[in-house]
Amino acid sequence: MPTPEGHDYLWEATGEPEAEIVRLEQLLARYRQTGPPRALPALERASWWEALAWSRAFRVCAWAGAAVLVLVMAPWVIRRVAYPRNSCDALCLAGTPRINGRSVLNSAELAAGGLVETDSSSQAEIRIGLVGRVTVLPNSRMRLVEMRPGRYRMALERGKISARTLAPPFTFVVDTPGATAYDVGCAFTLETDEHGSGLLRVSSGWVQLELDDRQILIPAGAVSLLRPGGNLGTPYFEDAPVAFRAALASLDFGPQDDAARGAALAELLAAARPRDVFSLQEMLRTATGEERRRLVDRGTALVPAPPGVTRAGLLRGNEAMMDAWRRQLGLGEPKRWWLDWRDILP
Amino acid sequence: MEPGKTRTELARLVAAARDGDHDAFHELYRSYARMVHGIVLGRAPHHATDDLVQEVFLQAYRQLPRLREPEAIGGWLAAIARNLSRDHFRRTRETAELTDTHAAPGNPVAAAEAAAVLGVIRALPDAYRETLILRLVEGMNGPEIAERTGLSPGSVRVNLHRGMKLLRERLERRDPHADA
Repeated sequence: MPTPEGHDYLWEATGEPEAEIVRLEQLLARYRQTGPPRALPALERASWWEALAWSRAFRVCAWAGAAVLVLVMAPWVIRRVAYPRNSCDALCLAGTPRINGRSVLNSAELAAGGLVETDSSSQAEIRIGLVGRVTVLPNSRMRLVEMRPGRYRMALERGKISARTLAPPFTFVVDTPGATAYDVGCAFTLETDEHGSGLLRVSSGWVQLELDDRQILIPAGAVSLLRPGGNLGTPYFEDAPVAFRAALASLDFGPQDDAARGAALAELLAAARPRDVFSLQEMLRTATGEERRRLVDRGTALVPAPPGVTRAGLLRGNEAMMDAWRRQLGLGEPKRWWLDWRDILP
Repeated sequence: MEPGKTRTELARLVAAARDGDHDAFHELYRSYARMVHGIVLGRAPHHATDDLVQEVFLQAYRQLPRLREPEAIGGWLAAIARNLSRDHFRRTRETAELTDTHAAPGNPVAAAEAAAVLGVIRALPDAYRETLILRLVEGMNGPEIAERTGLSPGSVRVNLHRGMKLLRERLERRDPHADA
């Protein structure tokens, strides 16, 4: 502690001593290095390679080289690990699924042309590297049609599958008798019978359903019905009101005379919520005349179009205006598939 | 910079040692051995300090070409001492305290008390521990500690006073009837 005169024994180690510090100095002096330090043995310089390894330039070069190597090798490694080339694993999840015609208790290799069949008590899982996993649910028949890095195509002949994928859009494709489903980075279930009746349910990301020249992008939370004879149902959100769903089914697959359609459309528009404008916008892809006017008017009443988008433009089917109006729904971007990485987690 | 040596002298000594002049390096060894001894003692048992001090200087000689600023020799040696004694402590963690208590020289009662006080100082934060050992064990004054370790005098002064305050509190907590 400094004295009033400014003398500080702890700092200066001279002058008037502080008893407590002196006591500690005396007590601890036994540890002090006394006398000259022990003589050093022969002094040796670092070898040239040690000196090189310590040099800053060498370390910078080494790190830079390692970084370049990683950058060069990473795409190749990712491609080898993430995208299987010739075959993938099919695992038994329950019962004894048949893989390539043989009952399997554990797992089997599945190559292009391979077939996975499940009965009422069995389930199998197809693991495609880091691309994703497909669970073949009971009473299903699924064929691996094509397998190469960047393209994995399957054919669901009947039954139901559940898929979780993380891959660039259109890497993973499932054909059904009714339509083709293109994965856009997502999780979904798809079911069908031999004639093409079925259902696509998207739980995360987006799926594109395609039939001939018709394409429908279906977001998470929505479903689309498939019907034999090349009929794709308008996608709708599963939580839509019952009246809305019934009217939509009638419009998609019911009587097509003007009176029946007019009544169904009235019910549909009356039951629609803002979220259901997604379905109205999908219907506008094919609707004409009075139906088109009613869809636009009700749709813009529920979800107003942004500035610059006109009623006339929407009625004309102006694609830029339609896109701007679709964005008002806030459903996200199908292209940002990598944000859905959680989907591949079990 | 070492007291008694001008900046130029120190630079000349370091440059000469870097060029392989053993006498110059031995002079640096004699000048800085006490500071290195104090730093090592803060982390390693007493019986191992002489070996570690030697090891610090042998390693310093091998690495001397890497030292860019001759004036930074003190801080640079202190850093090597910290690293080596820390490594030693990791290797011999289980026996360090026991060995020190038994190895303290002199009167057994005073030796036991010295070992206990050293143990309390070693348990202080790094900055306080080093300055207190250099002051109380090695007998260096504040300016000398600052010059040898490369720390600023202000930092050393603060570390000394705060460290001493903390040491008092911990010693009192350990033995409420003791004077120190």
